[in-house]
Amino acid sequence: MTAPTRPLLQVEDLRTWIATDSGPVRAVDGVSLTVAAGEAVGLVGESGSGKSMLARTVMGLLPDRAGTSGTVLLDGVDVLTASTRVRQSLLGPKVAMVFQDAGRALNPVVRIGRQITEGMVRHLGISRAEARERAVGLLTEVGVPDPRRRLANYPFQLSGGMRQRIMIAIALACEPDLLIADEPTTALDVTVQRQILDLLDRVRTTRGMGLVLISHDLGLVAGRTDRVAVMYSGRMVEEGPTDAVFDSPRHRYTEALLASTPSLDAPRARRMRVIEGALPDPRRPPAGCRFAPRCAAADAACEVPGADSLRDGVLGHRHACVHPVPPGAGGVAADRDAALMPADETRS
Amino acid sequence: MTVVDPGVGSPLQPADDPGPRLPAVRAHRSWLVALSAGWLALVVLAAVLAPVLPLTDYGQVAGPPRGKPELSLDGLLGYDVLGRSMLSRIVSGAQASLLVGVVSGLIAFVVGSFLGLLAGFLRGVVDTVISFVTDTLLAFPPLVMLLALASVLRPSIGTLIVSLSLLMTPTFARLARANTMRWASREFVMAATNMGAGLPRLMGREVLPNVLPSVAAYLPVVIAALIVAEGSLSFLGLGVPAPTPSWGGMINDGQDLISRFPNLVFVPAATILLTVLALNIVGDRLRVRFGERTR
Amino acid sequence: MLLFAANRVVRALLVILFATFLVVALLSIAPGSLAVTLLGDAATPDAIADLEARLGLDEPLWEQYSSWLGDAVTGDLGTSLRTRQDVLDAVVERLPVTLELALLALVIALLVAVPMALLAANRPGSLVDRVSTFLASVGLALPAFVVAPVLVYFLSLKAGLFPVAGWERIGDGLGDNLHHALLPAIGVAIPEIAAFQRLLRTDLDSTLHEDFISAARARGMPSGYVLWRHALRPSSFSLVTLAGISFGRLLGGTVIVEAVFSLPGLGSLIAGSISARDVIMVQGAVAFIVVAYVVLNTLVDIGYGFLDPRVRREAVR
Repeated sequence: MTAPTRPLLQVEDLRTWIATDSGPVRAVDGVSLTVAAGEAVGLVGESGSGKSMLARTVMGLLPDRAGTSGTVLLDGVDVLTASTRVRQSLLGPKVAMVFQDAGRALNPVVRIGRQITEGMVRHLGISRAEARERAVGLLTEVGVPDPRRRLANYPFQLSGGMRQRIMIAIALACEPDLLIADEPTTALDVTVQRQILDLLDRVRTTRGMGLVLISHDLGLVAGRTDRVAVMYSGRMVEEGPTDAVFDSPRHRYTEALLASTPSLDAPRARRMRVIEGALPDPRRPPAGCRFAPRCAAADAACEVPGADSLRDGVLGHRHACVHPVPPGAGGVAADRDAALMPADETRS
Repeated sequence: MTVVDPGVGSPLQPADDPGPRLPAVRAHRSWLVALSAGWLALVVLAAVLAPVLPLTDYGQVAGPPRGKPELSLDGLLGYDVLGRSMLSRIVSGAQASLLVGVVSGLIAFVVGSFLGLLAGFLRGVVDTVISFVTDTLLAFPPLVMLLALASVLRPSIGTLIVSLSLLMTPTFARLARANTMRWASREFVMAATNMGAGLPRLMGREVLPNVLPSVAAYLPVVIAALIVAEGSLSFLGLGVPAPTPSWGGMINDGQDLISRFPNLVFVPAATILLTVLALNIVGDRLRVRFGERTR
Repeated sequence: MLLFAANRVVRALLVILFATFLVVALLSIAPGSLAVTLLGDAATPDAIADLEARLGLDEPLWEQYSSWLGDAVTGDLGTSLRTRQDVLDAVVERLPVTLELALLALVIALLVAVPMALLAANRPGSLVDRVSTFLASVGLALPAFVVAPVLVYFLSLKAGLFPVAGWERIGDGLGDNLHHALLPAIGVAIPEIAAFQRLLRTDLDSTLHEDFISAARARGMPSGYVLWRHALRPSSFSLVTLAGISFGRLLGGTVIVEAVFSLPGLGSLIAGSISARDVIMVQGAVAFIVVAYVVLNTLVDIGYGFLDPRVRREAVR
C-alpha cells in the first residue's frame, strides 16, 4: 500500500454522543480511522457498535440531539466544523453513501429519474436533460436493464436487487472519491447479495474510488477489502490488513466474532460459537476494555481506564487488548478459547 | 503487550469524562403547562365559590350601563349594557360552561368507553352494530347535529347536556374500541382467557385498567371542544337560556355594540380563548404522558 | 381496489339511510308533543291534531320514514311550514354562499398552514417551531363565534378593510364578492389552520426520520429542497384526507359566521328556521348536509388511493 500525502478520509479521536433523558449515549467514543484514496476498508461490528453512527457522522446525518468532538477530515476539510454550504458541496462529489435498505432509502413517491439527477444538477452544474443522459449511462453501468424506462418508474415498481443497484447508481452520480456502503446487502436475498458486492467491487476498481464497507458480517468483508477495522461498543478494538486480522486476530472480541461467523470452509463438525452476554449500556460503558464483562480472559488489568487504547503491531495491525491472543494462535481454526461458549452443536 | 498495574486507576473515569458538547434534551414547556393549570384552577375556583364571592348578583344592576372597568370587585371588567357586573356574569358563565362541558364530557366518556369496550372485546355482531351506530352519528357534522337537536328540544341546561354527550359519545366509543382491541390481543389477556377467567372479570381486571387511562387522557381536549360547542349554541341563542349568563351569550349580546364598547365582547372572548387554550395544553401533556402512542 | 370502493359505497349508503332515518325520527322522539311545542301552550286540540296530521306524526315511525324517503329520492324534501317554499329549492338557493365560504376558508387554511408546518418542521425545537406550534394551539382555541366579532372590530370597524356584513353574489363581480367573503372565510379558516398545521407538522416530523430523507441529504441537497421536494408529498396524505373531511364539515359549520355577517347561506337558513320553529325546513336542510358530508367523506376515502403511488399499485392489482 502506498501512503499518499493526504488521506481521503481521516477520522481523528471522533466522539459522537447522543443526548437522551437518561444521559448521553456514547455511540462513537474516541475512534480514529484513515482511508487512503482508492483503498477499500471494512468496518465491522455488531449492531449497536457505532459503525453506522460513524458513517452518519461523516455524512452529516446525525440526529438533532447528537454532539461531536474530534475531527473528520474529508480531503482536508473538517466536515464537523465546516459550514452547511461547504459540507453539502462535498456530499456527492467527494463522498457518497449506499444505504442498507434501498426500499426505504429511495423516496417512494418520487420517480427514479429525479432521485438520480437532482444531485448532478446541483453539484455538477449540468442541465436536467444532460443529467438524464448521464443517468441512463449510470444505470447501464450498474446493470439495470432498459434504463430509459426505469427513469420514469417509482421505486415500488422494481425488485429489491434493482433498487439497490439504483441506490448505487445514485451514489456514483457525482463521481465521488469515497463511497460509504452501510450494510449494502443485508436487506437482500442471498442470491442477490453476491451480485451487489461484485458490482461494488467492479465500480470501485474501474473508478479508483475509496470504499468503506460497513457490515456486521466479517466473512462478507474478507475478500473485498484491503484493511479491516473492528468496532465494539463505540470503540475501535482492532485494525489492520484484512488478511492479518483474519488469519491472526489479536483482540479477544475479534476472535470471538470470527468464531461465531458460520463459514462454508469450516469442517462440519466444528462448533459454532456465540458470544455470551450483551453489549454494555452505551450510556454507562465499563471503564477500561468494554468487552471485559463478556471476556473469559479478562482480569483486573482490563478494567483500568485507558486499558483499551490501540497498541501498535506489525504492518499496521493494531489491537486494543490487554491479554491479546498470541500471534498465530487465533483465527478461524482456533477452537479452544475459553472466552467462547459452545452453542449449536453443528451448523453449516 | 502493555502491562498495567491493576491497582492504579486513571483519574479519567468514563463517568467524569464530559465528552462533546451536547444539545440540551428538549426542555418541556412546563411553565406553559403550569400557567394553564393555574388558569384552569382559577376558573374552577371562581365557579365553585361563586355563591360566596362578594359579587353583586349577575342579574342585578351594579354600576353604570356599559361602564368602563374600574377598581372595584364588581367593576373590575366593566359593566354590561344594563349595568350588570361583567365579572359576576363571567363567573356565572364559568359555572354554566364548566357544568355543561364537564358533565357531558364525563357522560360521553362513561357511555362511550363502555360501548367501545364491549365492541372491541366481544367483536362479532355487537361490534358491527355499535360501530355502525357510531359511524352514523359521526356522519353528522357536529354543529349540524346540535342544531338538529336544538330544533326540537326546548333549550335548557339539561337538554344541552343530553345533546353534547350524544355528540361526543361516538368519539370515545371509537377510541376505547381501538385501544381495547390492541390490549385484548396482548399475551397476558390471552393467558387469562386460557386460564378460564370469566368475561366480566377479564374486562374489569385486565383490559379496563389499561384502556381507560389512555382514553381518559382525551377528556380535557374533549371538554374544551364541548365548551366551544356550548358557546357556539349559546351565541346563536340556542344554548344556555337567558337570563342565565353564558360566555357565548355574552359575546352575542355585546356584538352589536362592539364598535363603541369592544370590551363587552373582548372580555368573554378572552375568557373562552384562555380556558380552551389551557385545556388543550394540559390535555396535550396528559396525552403525551398517558395516551397510547399510535405512532 | 374496486372491491374496496364498492365496500365504501355500500357502507355510505347504509349510513345515509340510518342517518336520514334519525333525522326523520327526531320529530317523533322529541320529548312532549312537537305540535304543542310548535304551536304554543294555548293551541286548541283541533289545531294540534291538524298539524300532527300534516307532519305525519300520527303515523307509525316506519311509515313516516318510508314516505319521506320516497319523496326525498325524487327531490322532494317537503315544503316550509312558514314560507311555503320548497325545501330543496331553498337549500339550493342558499348553497352557493356556504360552498364558497367553505372552499375559500379551506384554501386560506391550507395556504397558511402548509408553510407554517414546513417552517416548524425544518428546525424541530427551534424558536420558529415553538412559535408556530403555539400559534396553532391558540388558533384551536379561537372558534368562529370568538374570532369573528374580534375580526370585525379590528379589520372592518377600525381598519375599514372589509364590510361589516352583507354578501355580493359572484355573478355581480368577483372583486366585490371576495371583498365580502374574505373576512368571514378567515373567521372560518382560523381553527382549521391550527388543525392542519398540527397534523402536517406531526406527519412531516415522522417523514423526516425516514431513510429516504437521510439519503436525499446524503446527496448534498439543501434542507429546504429536501423538505419541499422530498418530505412534503409523502407527509400530506392525511392532510388531504383531513381537508376533505373539513370541507364537508364546513358545509354545516359556517352557521356562526353567517350569523355574524348576515350572509344568506345554508347555516343562516337552518338557524333562522330553528328560531321560526320551521322543523320541516330544518329537517330537509340537515338531511341534505348529512348526505353531502357522507358522500364527500366516501369520495375522499376512495380518492386517497390515487394520491399515493404505492396505493395506486394496489388499485392495478
